[in-house]
Amino acid sequence: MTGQHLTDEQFTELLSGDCPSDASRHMLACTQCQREFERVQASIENFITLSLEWAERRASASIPPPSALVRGWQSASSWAAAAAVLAAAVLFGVHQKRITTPEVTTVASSQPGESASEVADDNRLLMAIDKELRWQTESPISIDDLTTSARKSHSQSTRRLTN
Amino acid sequence: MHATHASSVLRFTGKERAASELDDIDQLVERHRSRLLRFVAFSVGDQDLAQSIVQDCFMKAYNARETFRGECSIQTWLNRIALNMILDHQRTQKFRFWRSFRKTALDITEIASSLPSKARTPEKSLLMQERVAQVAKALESLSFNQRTIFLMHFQEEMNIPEISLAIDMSVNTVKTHLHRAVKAVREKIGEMK
Repeated sequence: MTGQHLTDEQFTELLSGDCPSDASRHMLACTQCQREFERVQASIENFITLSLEWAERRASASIPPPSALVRGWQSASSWAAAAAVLAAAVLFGVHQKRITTPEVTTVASSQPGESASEVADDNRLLMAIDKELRWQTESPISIDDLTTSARKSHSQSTRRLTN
Repeated sequence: MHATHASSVLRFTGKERAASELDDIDQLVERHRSRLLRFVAFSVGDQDLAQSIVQDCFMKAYNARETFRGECSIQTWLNRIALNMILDHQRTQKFRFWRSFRKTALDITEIASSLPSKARTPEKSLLMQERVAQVAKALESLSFNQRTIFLMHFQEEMNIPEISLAIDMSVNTVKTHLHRAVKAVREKIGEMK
């Protein structure tokens, strides 16, 4: 003991439930240490009680049993699976629609009203192509021209030789 | 000889009981979550971080249940796992991040505001709230080791050798930290009076 009162070590020992004989004797005699001890002890005990009540409230609200988490996860995963199936179905439908769209156009284009104009367009296009091809065959250096000119020059040269 | 045999049987049955308790994770969480949350929350000073640590702690304990030797109570074992996780968090940037923001710091008013109880008069409730706020505030001023040892000793009712084993610190060092913690709490409570 320092002076007349309890040391910090004795005070801690008393709070911990250990009762050194000289400290106990002093506590019986000294009302100041007694009041101080009761005040600190009450504060710590109240802290222990209320902090546990707080933790019980918090824990029950925020820390669910793991199986509940698993159930929650299973439920969440089943919803996710359902959503995935729905999304896949929608995507498949859109994809199918895209595939069938040209066919619809083809069918539509084979309507009698539209086919006549399209045939006329096609004919014009084919004629243009034909003309282009003919123009290319009617080039100045056609094979016929070459053979004709070759024949002409050959006869002229033989005529000169005979003369 | 008889005593040795009897104690070994008792220890064996204790271990068996603990093993079965550890096998049921729901029961384990239900039984220990409040005390573990209280210990971790006041150690780290942040309730969201504490919840995260407590959840991880239960998963870790459940996965490592085979390593539980039954030499201490399950609560002490859980506290030890939680403490290691707190220390791991402290070493990482993650903990500094949490500390720097402290948006979910412990609300002393919320802690002190107990639910109405028939056993408590309004005056007594008010006095209790005041005392709790004082201790909670005083704990904030302690060093990490002082706070941890204080909480382990008074909240978790662990004795000095148990704390020494749990935090891998000598008995004398644990005693010194505890004395300093009590002294600081006494002084803080006195200041606020």
